[in-house]
Amino acid sequence: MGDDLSSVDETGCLARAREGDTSAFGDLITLHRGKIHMHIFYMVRNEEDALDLTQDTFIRAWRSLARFDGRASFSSWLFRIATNAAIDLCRKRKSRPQTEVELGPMKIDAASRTTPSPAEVPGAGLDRAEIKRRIEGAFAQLSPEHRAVVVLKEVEDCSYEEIARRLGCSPGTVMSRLFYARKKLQTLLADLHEEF
Amino acid sequence: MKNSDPNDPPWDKTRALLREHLTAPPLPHPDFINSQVLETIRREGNPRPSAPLFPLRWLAWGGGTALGTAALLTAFFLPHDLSRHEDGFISHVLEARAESPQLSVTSFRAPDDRGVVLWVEGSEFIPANESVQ
Repeated sequence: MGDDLSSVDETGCLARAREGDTSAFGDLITLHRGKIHMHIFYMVRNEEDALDLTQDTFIRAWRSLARFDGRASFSSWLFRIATNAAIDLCRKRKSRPQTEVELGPMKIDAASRTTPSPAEVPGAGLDRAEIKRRIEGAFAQLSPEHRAVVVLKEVEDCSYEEIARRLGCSPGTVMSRLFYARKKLQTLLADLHEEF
Repeated sequence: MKNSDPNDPPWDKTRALLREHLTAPPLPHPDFINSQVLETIRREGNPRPSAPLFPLRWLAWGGGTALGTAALLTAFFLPHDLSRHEDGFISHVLEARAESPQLSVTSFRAPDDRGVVLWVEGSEFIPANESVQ
């Protein structure tokens, strides 16, 4: 099953999946698995958990497909399931998510460590790996709900309304969470800015 | 949403840091997800994820309607039925007395048996020429 999604008709697949067509549901998984996995990873900061929760999200979605009423988009509905699953996991851990994450191959060119552009890279005086570690650590100190809004707004660039749909809360709640999450991050990362 | 504290560093810089360093790894072996999920679905017996034949809402309405009908039927028919039973007695005992002074008669109702008991004392038998009125 490849990742060529141009030919996937989500509405048709959804209708067939609701009739019990697992192949159509497989197409829906292919269509959404990347974003769902990324979203979950941002929240739980652990590759293995992210993989498990991604699978769990689609299994839950299949079981609840009859209850999907179509008021929100299928994507938003999936995100809501994924978010709830991630929040549940974080609560079960009863501790902050792991700050030491396995990020796979770094996309940063090794040469950039010695040739940063101070005008473009905040905290350029610090080692990039150290900056990354600090940011991961600060992000990990947020609650799962706050991590979700920060990721959706600041990384994925979603609108408040879309975030609200994905998280199953009101736009006002999204704004409130974002406000406090930003404040906390800025406090935790204040010394990085001194390097500017 | 603006920073309430003017001493806070500009959010744009924090956002730039987040976007640059807060990365997620690509999904490893994407098709693995599909195979695992579909296998789980099939292992569970591939229940058709369609709405049940009688959704809960229908069942609730059906149950409510049945209860309401039963209540109406009870209200209309049960009292008539009971009164018919009351009228079904052949006679009522208002007072029991014996003409012979040696005899005493007490009557009491036995509601469970739907009858009246006459308790006669003072004689081992009732003579043929005596009567209990």
